[in-house]
Amino acid sequence: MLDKGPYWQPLQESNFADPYPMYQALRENDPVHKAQTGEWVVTRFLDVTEVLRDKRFLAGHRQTWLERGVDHLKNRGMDFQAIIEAMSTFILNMNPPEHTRVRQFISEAWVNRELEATVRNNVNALLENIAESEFDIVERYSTMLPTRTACDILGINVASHQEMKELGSAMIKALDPYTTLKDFVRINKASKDFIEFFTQQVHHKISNPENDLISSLIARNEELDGKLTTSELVSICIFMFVAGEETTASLIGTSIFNLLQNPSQLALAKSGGVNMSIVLSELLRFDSPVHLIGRMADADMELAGKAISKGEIVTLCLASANRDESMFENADRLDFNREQKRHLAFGYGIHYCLGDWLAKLQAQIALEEVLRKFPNLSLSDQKIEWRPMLAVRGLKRLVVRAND
Amino acid sequence: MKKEQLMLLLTKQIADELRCQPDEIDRHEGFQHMGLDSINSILLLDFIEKQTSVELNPMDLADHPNISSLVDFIFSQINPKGDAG
Repeated sequence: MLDKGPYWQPLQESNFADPYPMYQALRENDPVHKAQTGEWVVTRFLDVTEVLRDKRFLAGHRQTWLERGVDHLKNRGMDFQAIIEAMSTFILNMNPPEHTRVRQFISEAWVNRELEATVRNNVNALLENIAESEFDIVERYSTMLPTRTACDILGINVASHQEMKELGSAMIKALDPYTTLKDFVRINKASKDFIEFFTQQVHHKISNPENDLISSLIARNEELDGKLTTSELVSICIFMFVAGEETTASLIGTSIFNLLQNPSQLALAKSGGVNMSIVLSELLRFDSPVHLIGRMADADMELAGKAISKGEIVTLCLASANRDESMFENADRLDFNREQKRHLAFGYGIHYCLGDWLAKLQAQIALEEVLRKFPNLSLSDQKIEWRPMLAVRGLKRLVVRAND
Repeated sequence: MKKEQLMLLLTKQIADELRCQPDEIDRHEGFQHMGLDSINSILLLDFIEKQTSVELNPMDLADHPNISSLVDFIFSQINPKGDAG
């Protein structure tokens, strides 16, 4: 049956709450779909993987688009230059050889990976503060844990974790495929605040190095032939904070929601009858934080019978690929006993998530400990709210009952 | 505001974005065909919101891709109950 669509309506209210029926309609009717906005929307597992594997699909078109937008708005008397500066060295927007160089630089500088104690410490601090019988677990827990951990890793003391988290949420909007003037204003404000904050931190740590990631980035940079500028180091700090915080916050919140929605799987996870790494892997497949990433075709090519022209944009729906029935039987079912297969929650290829291990570590401890403290945790009757975000999807509000 | 009035305002704004004269703009021509891209659209959407208090997103422009149908859509948002106009 060929339903004529329009298939691609990601900004529709109902699709923020649940985009999976839209993804399914796309996979079944037009898996490489020319959106009314001009870009191609790719929803099947094998097609998404093929694009991520193909070096002729480049990263970074969002950065280019934002640069064009900022230039255009500058001609109309508006200054959003901070966005471009803040994002100058976001590795997810870069291509080889620069991408290879900067990614390797970050990997080499990130030496301290023994973070379990840090994560446990933060989890305990957050759980100790929860005494209410009903509380918003997004506000109190799932967004706060990765924020605190990211601050600890970078070695920054912040006046308010809440404020840092809000800057991160504003900044991540820059990765969404559609941007309004209001978005530019908010992203620019967050960019300015981030730049000011991390510039101070970098300057401080140049003369007062400590055992943290910023100090380590500074030290490693000194050993490089082509040194990065302070502005580029600041951009890397912003990226490390935002990339680690926003995605993991989404993973923890969404995973709690999905567990509470699926009592049999929740019971299975709690019983210890299945390894937590398998639980995590299935939660990631079932409802991954990163829904959309984009690429630009650097040559004319063909994908699933469609002709993609050089310069065209391809939007890859990772979350849809992970629900592809041809790869995962009963894909819409959360099932910790399913056959373990590779999923695309952390991407694929040269841009594969740098912090997958940390996201999994945090989510695992966060889930184990919240269920240990609140063994009868359940959903409340209050309305569940999703953020109106496309690239990184997550809950805005999830009120739970501590004991029921 | 009347539809005709909004039509004139939009025509002028789009002409301004495209650096041409309002009388060169055809109300039934597709935005994409005119050369109005996602960058030009940023200010156009903001202009519409300031004029009408209707908050459109970039996909609405693609779903209602010429001045005439866009104005109909904006009016359906102002007055969802009726005004077949």
